[in-house]
Amino acid sequence: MTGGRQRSSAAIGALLVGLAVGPIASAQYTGAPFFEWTVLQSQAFGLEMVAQRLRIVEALEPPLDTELGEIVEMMIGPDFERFGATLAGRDEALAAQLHETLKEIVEAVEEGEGVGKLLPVARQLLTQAYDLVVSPTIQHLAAFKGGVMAQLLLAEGGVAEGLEEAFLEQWEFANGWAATQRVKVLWQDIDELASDQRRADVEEMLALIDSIYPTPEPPETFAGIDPEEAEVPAQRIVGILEEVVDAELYSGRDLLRLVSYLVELARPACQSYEAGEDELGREVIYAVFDHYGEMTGLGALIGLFAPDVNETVMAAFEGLVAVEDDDDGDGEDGAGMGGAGNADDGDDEMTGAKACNQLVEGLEAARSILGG
Amino acid sequence: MKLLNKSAAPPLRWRLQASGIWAAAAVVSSLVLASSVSGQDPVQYRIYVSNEYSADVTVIDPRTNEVIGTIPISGRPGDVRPRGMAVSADGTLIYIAVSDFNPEFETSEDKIVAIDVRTNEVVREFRAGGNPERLALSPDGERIWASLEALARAAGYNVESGQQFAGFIVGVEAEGIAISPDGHWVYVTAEATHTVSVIDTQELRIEKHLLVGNRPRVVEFSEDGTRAYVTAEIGGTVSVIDTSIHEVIATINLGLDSRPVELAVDPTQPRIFVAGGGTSAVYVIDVETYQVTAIIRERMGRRPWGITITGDGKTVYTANGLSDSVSVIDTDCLCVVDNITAGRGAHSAQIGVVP
Repeated sequence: MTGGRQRSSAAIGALLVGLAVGPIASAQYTGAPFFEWTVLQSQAFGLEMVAQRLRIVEALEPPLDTELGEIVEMMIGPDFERFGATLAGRDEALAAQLHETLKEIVEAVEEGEGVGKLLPVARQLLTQAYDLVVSPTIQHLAAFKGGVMAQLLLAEGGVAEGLEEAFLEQWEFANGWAATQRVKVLWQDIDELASDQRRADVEEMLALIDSIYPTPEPPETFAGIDPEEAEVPAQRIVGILEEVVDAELYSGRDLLRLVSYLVELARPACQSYEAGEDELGREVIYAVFDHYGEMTGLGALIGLFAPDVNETVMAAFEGLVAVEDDDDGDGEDGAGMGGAGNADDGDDEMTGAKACNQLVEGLEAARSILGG
Repeated sequence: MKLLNKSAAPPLRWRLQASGIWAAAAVVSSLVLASSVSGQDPVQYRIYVSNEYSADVTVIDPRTNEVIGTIPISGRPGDVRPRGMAVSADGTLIYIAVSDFNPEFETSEDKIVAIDVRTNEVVREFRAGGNPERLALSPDGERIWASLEALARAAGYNVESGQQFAGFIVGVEAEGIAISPDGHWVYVTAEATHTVSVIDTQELRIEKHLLVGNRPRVVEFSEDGTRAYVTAEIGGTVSVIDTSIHEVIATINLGLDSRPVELAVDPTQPRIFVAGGGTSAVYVIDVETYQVTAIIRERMGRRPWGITITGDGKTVYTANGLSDSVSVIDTDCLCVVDNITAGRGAHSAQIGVVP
């Protein structure tokens, strides 16, 4: 680990425990995990998504459909990028070993080969990585777990979106199925906190979701299926979870507060880019993007009031993170690995720093539009 | 339930809507006159409930709370869904927003149909691409406005010709739509942008977009048109808009897990009834004090989404999507007095006079 990375890690570390931008919690709930642990929640989501891809590979023996193969490949792209640099900062060997194992699985899937021996290795490494990136103390907090569940239920690649996206790319269905399996496990961890009525409500919704995703394989036809069918119970569960874990799980209820927070969150990330620590900066930008995008509708709102500002922000995001799809054009041995061995560091630093500053300027403009 | 014995005149909204149509005006005026002479309200109503998954409309007689008919909308339930509705002032026509289930593609199923309730026949059909979700009929009955969910647009159509005469970009995932009692303003909510777009129907332009609560669903105007109320499902609020300046002047907090969706304005008292979708509750709000005065949960059907109120303000009906039912609420006791079986996926509820 380099001295530069240590300094940036310290700067990013300050972000992991949240920024003091206004009151953190709502009047109704005590916690606000997406404000208290914004980057940690994003990193946890990345770790969860890697686990989710592994779950899919295990359930659907290779050879896999090409489209599904691309979904699995995301675990060495954007999924890993959410936490890889932090992991490398804490245990470079583990980060490298995990990435290499995941890469072998992706390659085996591409070749139509079995991955039976690799899966337990990957899982073991992933568990170690999870504990290093997100301390077990925080992992096991109900509010944090609620945040993880909310993302698995509502974010891209999750329960609600899995079905909707499957109408365009049918194998997204497998993502919805796999996310469902994980949500059920996490619910078992916290269901004792719920009242009998709330527990019954969640279990009813989970049963409904189970009936939508009976298998990882998509149905032969989507005719007669409402693409938003999984969203209704998923939203309902998140609403109940807020009460159960006593934490606000929708970060976009107060959009001015949110955008003000995102400005402050993104700013130190630009320092990481300027210091050549693109991968560390990128981890923060993923978290910023989560809350600017579909999860909150902030970007759509800015797009309505000031399309040019939204275009500026989105262009900046596109220069910093994988906005729509996995980016397999990046150096495979360096993706998400703290930039080690990347021959294009010089250009990337400038591009990343410039894009990041453009992002902050765009978010500041968005804040002004909302009256801040 | 003996609504025939109630003596209240039809609400202001009905009278305004009727005033622009000679035939309807004659019908309604004569009924009002008859009411004043006999001391009884001869205006009879029908409750219409659109059912998303069975692709039909349940018709309920509020005097008996019995289903008196089912109007088929499509022979392909599961592929085609009816959602938002509007009823003509004379009660002869119901307009229904019909779409397929895939917002990504514009298909021939995306349309508005007008059905003559006397024959259950489709008498008009307007092309309305982009998943039309909800409808609002102008007070003169000549124009109908639709929110087009997939296109982030709102469009206006001439009901006689079916021609689209206006289209505007509004917020993303347009949903609720309402027209002011004087016909001047159309308000359109948008789920994803948390906005209400204000359309000037005289100048045919967007007046402004304004930010409301998180994930706004439905908007309704007060009887006198001075206020508009907008539910916010994730925000757990109702925004109160002063329609003279098109600005939010108050936000009523129902609780973060209240999940408000459709709302009905009481024509007789300063209060609104708000369906709390996911929470299987109805919230009663005093719109003078902005306080929640009651929450109705007992015997409520599951996931009340649509809601409507009778002209005399005595009865509220909710369309319950998960229990495929309609709950009947007596507004005196603020309690559920009946539950009626509807079609699958009950979505919206509208009230109309019997033609």
